Amino acid sequence: MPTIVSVDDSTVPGEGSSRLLLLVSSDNKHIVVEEDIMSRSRFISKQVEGFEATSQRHAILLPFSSFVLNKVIEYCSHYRGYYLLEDDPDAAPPGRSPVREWDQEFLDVDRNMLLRIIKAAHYLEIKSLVGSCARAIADMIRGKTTEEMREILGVENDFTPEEEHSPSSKCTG
Amino acid sequence: MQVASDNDVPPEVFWSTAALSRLAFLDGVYHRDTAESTRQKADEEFEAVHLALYPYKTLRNAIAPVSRLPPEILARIFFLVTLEDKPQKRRPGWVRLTWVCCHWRTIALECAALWCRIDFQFGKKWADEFLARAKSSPITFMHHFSTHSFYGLPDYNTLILQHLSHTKEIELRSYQDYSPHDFFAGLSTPAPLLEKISFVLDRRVTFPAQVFNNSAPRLRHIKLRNVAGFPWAPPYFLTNLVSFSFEVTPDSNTGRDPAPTLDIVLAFLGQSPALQVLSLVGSIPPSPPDAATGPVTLPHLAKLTLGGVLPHMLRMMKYLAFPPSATVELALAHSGPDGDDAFASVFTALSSHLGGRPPPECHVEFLCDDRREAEYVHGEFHIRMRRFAGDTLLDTPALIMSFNTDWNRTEQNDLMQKFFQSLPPELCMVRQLAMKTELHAERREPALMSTGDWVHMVHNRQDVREIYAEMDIGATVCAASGMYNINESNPQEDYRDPMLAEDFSPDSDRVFLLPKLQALILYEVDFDEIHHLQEENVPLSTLFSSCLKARKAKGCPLDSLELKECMSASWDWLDNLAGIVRSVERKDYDPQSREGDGDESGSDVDEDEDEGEV
Repeated sequence: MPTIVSVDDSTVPGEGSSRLLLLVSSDNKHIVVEEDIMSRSRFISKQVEGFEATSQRHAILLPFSSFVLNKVIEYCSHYRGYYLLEDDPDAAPPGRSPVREWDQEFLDVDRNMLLRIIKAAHYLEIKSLVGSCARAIADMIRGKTTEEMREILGVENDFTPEEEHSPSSKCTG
Repeated sequence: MQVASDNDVPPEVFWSTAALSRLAFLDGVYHRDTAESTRQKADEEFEAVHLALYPYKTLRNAIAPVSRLPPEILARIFFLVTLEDKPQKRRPGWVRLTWVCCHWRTIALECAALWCRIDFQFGKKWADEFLARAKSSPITFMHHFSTHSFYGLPDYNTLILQHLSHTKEIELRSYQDYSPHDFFAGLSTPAPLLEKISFVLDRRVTFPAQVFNNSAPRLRHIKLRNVAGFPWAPPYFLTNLVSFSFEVTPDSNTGRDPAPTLDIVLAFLGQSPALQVLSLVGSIPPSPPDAATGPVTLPHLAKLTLGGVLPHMLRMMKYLAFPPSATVELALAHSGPDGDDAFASVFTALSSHLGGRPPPECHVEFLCDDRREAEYVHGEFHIRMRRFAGDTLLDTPALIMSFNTDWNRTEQNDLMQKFFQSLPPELCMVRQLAMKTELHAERREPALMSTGDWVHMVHNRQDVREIYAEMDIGATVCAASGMYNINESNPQEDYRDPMLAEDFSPDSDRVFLLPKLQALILYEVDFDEIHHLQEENVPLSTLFSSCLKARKAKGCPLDSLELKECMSASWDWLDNLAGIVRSVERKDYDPQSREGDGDESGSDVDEDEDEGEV
């Protein structure tokens, strides 16, 4: 659960009519964004529903940096008003995310940034962005050797020799 | 010695102290009698230290950004990898994911969805292993067996039948005479989760009387080849299909099932109004339906494939109503469209599908996957027609026709001529024409299309503006581009060659072949060619220059010429052409600089090909 702090009206301009939200990143940057833009996030939507129940508006503290948060807002702004099947809670989950050209360009970032975005998207419950990031990461490692995969995603071989050569580790006979 | 355990001790101090304490046993290492045992002890120590490092590697992995992703996200990434990196013999594919690190292996082994695709090519042992890891998830079975894999087939078939209650897909393909009759006889229990079946067999098998006990409520995709006993008639339980493919090959050595009538087939299709893909090959009922039978409307159909005898296909189409955006594929049995009116009957049947007002423009591609023996050509022909929407060429073909044919090259090749004669510009205009072939004619073989064939095929059609042609077909279209008609009353016959200079007058009213031709794209054409041309001893480059000059002089110049991987096309020659053709472009895989021009020996070409493969 995120920490919620009270916000006075002066912090959130236009409250009521323009429906602005205040998002606070882990590096304590305050970012005001239209609620409509962030409605793609199930997490934010649930928070807003909570505000309406209590008639109080709050800032929403998020556990990732403003740099990552701004990327997520950029994504949500781009698809503002668009219907994306993956974000429809009533639709059956698609087997694989569709390839969207804009997403490919948007996610042309370094490995660590990509991993931060997918974590943020998962936290915010933006399924379409999670799907696009997952596809981008899958594309990075598909067809690569084991050693290449380790290098690409920055992990080491931590199998003991016994584990590495156990029969059950080799699944293709 | 007491090993320091205080966390404040710097690690290099801690480990060097610990190591020194363990080195005590090396006292006397230089003594000849103990050197070997000391070496052995040192190796054991080294191995132990090495093993002791693994927890540190695991710790390091645990804080790597990718390891801090929620397990379900990592599993999802793995799942996406599995979709397009399937294991094959001697190639582990996505299974490599389980070899990267302990964390990844744990995630992968716990994610049942990764192990649901059981491919029997890896043997029974791993099929069992996959099944165990898949737990109760819906299973996909894949079984492609050939003459080398008879061993164990009954075991595999039994395994599928045992798991039918939680099987999602079954793909079965045989390449030889084995017919898994027992397996098919066993398909008599309900298949509640089954969504897709693909049974493609060379020899006939038969469904049991009540396949799936008449219960497969989720089955939406069916592909069958040489499977008899299909439940065409009521009670319908295979309804709301999305794709349906039913093929019977003439050599299935079976004798036929009692063929369903067209009424029965149409009634069956009527149960699946959402059908997107329909394919009936060798299985179109030959008899007409009852007079009362009306057409079946398939508003979502994207692809219709019919194979067999043309009149049966045309009759079938009369009873199917589908959107104009659908692709119609006609696979004609054996010798292709017989008779002069075969193409015309196809275009008439598809006039509302292909045509429009104004007539749409289209791209027509002929592909001859040919085999040549002396003067005979045995060809598998594919004709594809794609529409233009404005200047955009649509990816989805409107019509595909495929057939096998052969002809003696000393006779006239009139197949493509009949195609064009039957396609009036009032119905559909051919903006682009592509002529492709899989094999280059050897020097002593006749070209697949002669200059005369070009004349007979397209003569003075006004709609063709762009031609793409390959190899020997490209050579002959170059020569044909300068041919002009000297007898308008018989535009197909009396074409002359521009090399006969005494016949040519720029001021005459004579009409060139394809007078509106603007662009020519040539692939792998040898401009030193002489054998496939009528004017022997004149290289193609010389002849083509004359043709282009003649067209320009007559007011129908070529706007654009593109040469891809062509041979003997020197820069000097191209420079000269630039004064005749507005745009001349040469595209090679490994473009040579102008300085390198002239050195186009065979060895260079080989090097290019090698590089392309790398």
